[in-house]
Amino acid sequence: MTSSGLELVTGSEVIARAAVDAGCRFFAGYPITPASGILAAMTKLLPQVQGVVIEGEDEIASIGFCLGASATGMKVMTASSGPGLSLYSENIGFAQMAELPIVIVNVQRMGPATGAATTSAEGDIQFVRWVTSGGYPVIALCPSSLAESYSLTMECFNLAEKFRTPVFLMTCKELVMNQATVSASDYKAPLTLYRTVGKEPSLPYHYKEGSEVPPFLAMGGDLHSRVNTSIHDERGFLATDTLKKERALRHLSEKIESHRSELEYLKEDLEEGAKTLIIAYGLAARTARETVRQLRRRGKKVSLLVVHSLWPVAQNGIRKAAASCENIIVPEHNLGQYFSEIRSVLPDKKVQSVTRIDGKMITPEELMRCM
Amino acid sequence: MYINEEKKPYPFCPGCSHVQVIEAINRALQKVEADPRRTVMVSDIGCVGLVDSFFNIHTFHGLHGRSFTYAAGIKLANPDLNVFVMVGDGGCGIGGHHLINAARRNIGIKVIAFNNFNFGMTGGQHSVTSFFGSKTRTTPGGHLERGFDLAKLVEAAGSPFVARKLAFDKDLDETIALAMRSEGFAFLDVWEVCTAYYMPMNDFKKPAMEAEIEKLGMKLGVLREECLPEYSCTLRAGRKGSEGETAVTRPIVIAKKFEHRLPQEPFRLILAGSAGMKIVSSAGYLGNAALKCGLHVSQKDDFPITVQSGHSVSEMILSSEEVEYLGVDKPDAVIILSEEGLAKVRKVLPVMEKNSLVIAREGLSLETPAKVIAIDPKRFSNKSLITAALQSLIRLVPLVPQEAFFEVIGEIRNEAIRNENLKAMEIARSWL
Repeated sequence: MTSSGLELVTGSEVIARAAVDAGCRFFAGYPITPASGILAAMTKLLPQVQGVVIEGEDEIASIGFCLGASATGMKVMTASSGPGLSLYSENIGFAQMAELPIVIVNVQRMGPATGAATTSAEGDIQFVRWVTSGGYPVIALCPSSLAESYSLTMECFNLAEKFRTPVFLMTCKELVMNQATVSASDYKAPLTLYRTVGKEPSLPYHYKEGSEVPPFLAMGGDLHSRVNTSIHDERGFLATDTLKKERALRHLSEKIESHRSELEYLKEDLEEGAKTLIIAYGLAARTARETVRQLRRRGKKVSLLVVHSLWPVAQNGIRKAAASCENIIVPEHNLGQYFSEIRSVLPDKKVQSVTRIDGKMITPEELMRCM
Repeated sequence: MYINEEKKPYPFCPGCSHVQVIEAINRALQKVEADPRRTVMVSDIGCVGLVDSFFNIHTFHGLHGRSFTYAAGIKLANPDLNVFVMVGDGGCGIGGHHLINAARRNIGIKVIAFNNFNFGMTGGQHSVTSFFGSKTRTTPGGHLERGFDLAKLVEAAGSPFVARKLAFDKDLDETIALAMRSEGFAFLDVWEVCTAYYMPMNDFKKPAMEAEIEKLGMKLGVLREECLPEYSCTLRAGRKGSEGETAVTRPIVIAKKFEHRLPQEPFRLILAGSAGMKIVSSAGYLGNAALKCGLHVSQKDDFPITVQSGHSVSEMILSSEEVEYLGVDKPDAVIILSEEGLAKVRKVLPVMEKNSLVIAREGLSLETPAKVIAIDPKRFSNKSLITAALQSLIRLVPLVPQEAFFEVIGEIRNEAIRNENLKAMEIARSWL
């Protein structure tokens, strides 16, 4: 994508495009504001590349279709908002347990429950971390612009394939339904990854170390495979032995936790001598960028760290960026869900939480008041 | 061949019907000569879900009642596979929505319901098929609800193949083979005995089962056999030829052609009117004109869920840098074309600056320190009033050159709309 000039486009279209470019050939979803635009965009795009798109009878069916298709080896995606994520919950656990790659886009809106369908919020940050039973780690990326929506959607597919796990794109109404300009040269496509395919039949969950991701065997492929929602051994059979059970469950954690350093997606805009660091993600990162722009124009020193990987928490990068700063400001469109994470990563710093939950964006003035 | 004989016996209670049905499935697979590498068995929770490991084919064991959705996903992804579901009456209850919709869509999966009228795995609670008056762990005084006739339910939902059989039927394998050979969705309601719970609590042996069939006026055997277009194939048949793997995903870029006139600060604008006044599409025209000048644009539209009624509002930000902060708390200009539009923007009018601009339809009552310009609606059609207002705006405020906006209007594909807009621009030009 090298042509010069600007494009006026919605986030829905950008995410759909990125999915297709990442090799996604199966999408199932159920209509919900503000995520319906992604279903519509996929309905337009996927048939053109011989892909399958289907509107499920509900969110449970939609993610179920996706997981069935994923088990045949397809790259799959679904998209919804808070109420839909609630319904996805049990199947997200299934995807973790059965190690089925899937990308789940959560276009956040004001919650809880039906909340306000057309009002932006970013209140699902902790929800997505603990979205299903068991408490095993999740991977969640969060764009703050349309160009990032493109590259991070593609990254989500790469991570889902690489780690054989559900991966979340955490975005919001404002970034998905609005139209905005993107410079064509800003769309950056990462190298596309595919899951490693197994060579041993009947060993769909074979790994030597718990931190390894087992090579994949497709449903309906030449090599015999099994998928199992219950705790299973390397053959996919129900594990009854305590040691085998523990090994299987620790593996679900270790395969992600041992790769934490690879999963740190951050964008630093640090200024030497700055004592204030704004740490922001999603919509609030936009206000943060505007604030930094205005302050620097006035000759004031300030640093910014935009977090693109919400889960696991990018501890090393956050510590490094905050090393020479005293005042840390964390703006969020919720009651401070990531503030608690930042505070535990930076126990020796003064960390301030700025929150807003009336559907409006935090203003640059609100952030400047914390300096 | 499809069952690992060495693993037997099956992990079921003595006398459980599951054994007969699974054996019949094994024989049916042999009859249809299913390729084990292209055959997938999908199961979920309940006693029948205990036997995945006995099958030598691909197996997929999922969550309770969701097996229909996984099977559908597998079939949609790869229509060449034989996909069948082994589910209990419990799964047909909790996944009932998925069952009827899979039948309605006619996705070519074959569902065998192991229907033993209660939850065996969890200790004999009633299910959606337990009979009126029947005793279970959760209906000790006799069931007050009537059970689902699963076959009738699925038939009503549109399944082209429906059959009801007893687990004892000698020709059960024949019926299963018939279902497996059918093109589309197929459903078999197989009546069973649960020797652990339902049978002892209700004295429900084979004669009682037959008496129940008689009493309820039900039929046995194949109840429906039709040929309807199968969904995963129809889906593919309806596709147009490939336009290339990536051609569809290229951005639609507008190259810079004109110089904008905007100072460094972003320009924040609200267009407010009513449905049918082309507010949103005209905001897009201004946006495209700005793009032709290399400006960044953000556009946020607001209208009621019920379209073609009520207000229509677009918030726009034009900027020489990428627009980061998306709020329009204090607009630089507001265009108001109707009372409904005014109601939506009334709050921001008093906070506007003195040197900012309001372009409003004549006769609206406004309270604002901003400079107000009135437009006479009689000069323009309802749909082109916004064009005239935008034309006035770009004449009065250094934003984008007239030629850029004129070019965008000239590019409108629909001839009637294009001409109406060009006419409005002409009138507005002479009027200002």
